[in-house]
Amino acid sequence: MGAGIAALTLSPLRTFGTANEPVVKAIPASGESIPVIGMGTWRTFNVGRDEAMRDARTEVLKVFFEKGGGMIDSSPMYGSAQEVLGYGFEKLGIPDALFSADKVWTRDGAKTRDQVAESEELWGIEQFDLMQVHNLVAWEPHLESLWRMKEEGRVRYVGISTSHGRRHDDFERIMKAGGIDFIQVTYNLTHRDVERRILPLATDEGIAVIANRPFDGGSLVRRLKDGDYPLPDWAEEFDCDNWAEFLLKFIVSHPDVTCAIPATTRVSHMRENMGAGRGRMPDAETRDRMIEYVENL
Amino acid sequence: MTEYLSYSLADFIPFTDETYFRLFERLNETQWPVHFAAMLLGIGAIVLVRRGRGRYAAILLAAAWGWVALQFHFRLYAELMQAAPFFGWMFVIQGTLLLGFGLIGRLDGGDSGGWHAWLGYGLVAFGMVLFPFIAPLTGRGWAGAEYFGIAPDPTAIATLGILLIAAPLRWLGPLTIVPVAWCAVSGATLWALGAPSAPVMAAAGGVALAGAVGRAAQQR
Repeated sequence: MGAGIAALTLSPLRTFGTANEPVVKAIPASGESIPVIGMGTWRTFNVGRDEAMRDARTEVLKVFFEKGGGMIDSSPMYGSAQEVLGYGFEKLGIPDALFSADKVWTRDGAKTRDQVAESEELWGIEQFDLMQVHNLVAWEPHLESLWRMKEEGRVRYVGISTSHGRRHDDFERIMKAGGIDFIQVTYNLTHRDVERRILPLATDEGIAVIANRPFDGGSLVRRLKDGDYPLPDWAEEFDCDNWAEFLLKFIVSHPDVTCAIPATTRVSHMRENMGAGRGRMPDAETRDRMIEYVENL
Repeated sequence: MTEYLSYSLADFIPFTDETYFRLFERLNETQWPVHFAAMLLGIGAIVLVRRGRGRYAAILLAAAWGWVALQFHFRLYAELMQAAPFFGWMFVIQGTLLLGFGLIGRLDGGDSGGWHAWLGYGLVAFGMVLFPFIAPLTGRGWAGAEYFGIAPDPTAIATLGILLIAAPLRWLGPLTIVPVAWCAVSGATLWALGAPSAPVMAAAGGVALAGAVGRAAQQR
């Protein structure tokens, strides 16, 4: 990752920033800092070979980096998303700030390297920063191969991913066994199962946490926006101007969470998302207040 | 096993409604003016059925199913959806069945005077004439309108109508499996995407199924 982003936050347990600098958090395995707001590509970047839509997604990508974005996450499972990212990078160039995260998703445990190589080609990059085992599919052989690739310098970090709260028992077992740099789990204001065991375990084991489905697949932020619900006055206390920022700041202000990866198709929504990665963050007491406020709407 | 219960239908749809409906705009852009040929093909099929020449109608319908498989499923939908080639092969199988049944003269033994036949005419009219209006009526504009012989949904609905009118009872079941299955798949996809037109496909499949079952009960 390039040094273009000002790193204000030094500890993964303290997050605050100014209006001009993206808030970053440290990856426990290395101390390297990444912006707390990343970008997911599930559904949003699967647009096939439609050039008009590919150009529209490239604009989203451009704004993501202009606003200080870093991590982009994808998967071979996401249809044409990897190829569309590659199209965008061909137009924009590969930004120094890119922290590339992808996944291995095949039941064939012998195909790890082949699939990583295919994904690198689709993105148009030389190598990934982070490679995760998607939904723990054939995780034992894939992790073995990824660890070897890490030793060889073919990938920088190794992780595992899940969503919707699935297979958390297996997750805990793998996390405790060691060798995992990142986990990716579902965490948002209305789905907080991971707070009990997974997040504290990640901190204990020195594992970075990526929060997926920050808007619960879009339904959470749509409900709040479409319902025309007002933001509470006290949202100003943590520099929050809209519901997207409210929901994202809730997630990334959790001391055990490293970053969130909201996905969007629109430039205006990307601007809102990236606003969550700046300014003051809610403290523990305010986070409780945020839960109560949304639950009572 | 309980893990599978945690999945919702939307978890299997890897694209947005915007991207899905844009497929039909792209389909129309690249297919124009095949629409005229498709329309003539549809009109020809129903005229042939009315004149008791169902076997030729079946051959025309087979062409429509093969064309949709090629142009929609294999060429466009496969860009977004891993299951699209499977759906394409479903359409190829249906086209082959129609062709086979048509060539051996099986699609000319219906009872064109029964209530199920009128249900069939209704489905044909809906699939061929009314279906293109759904896109503009639901805010997607004419550019994304879906036409018989070009897009899968109106092709399936109109085919079900013709089968209700013309297919002999013993062949009605085998010939309606794929079109009814597609109504279910398409309806589920639209429902997962939150599209207002989702109930249309479920209703069309349901009506066709009710017509087929009703006809079987009446004629036995």
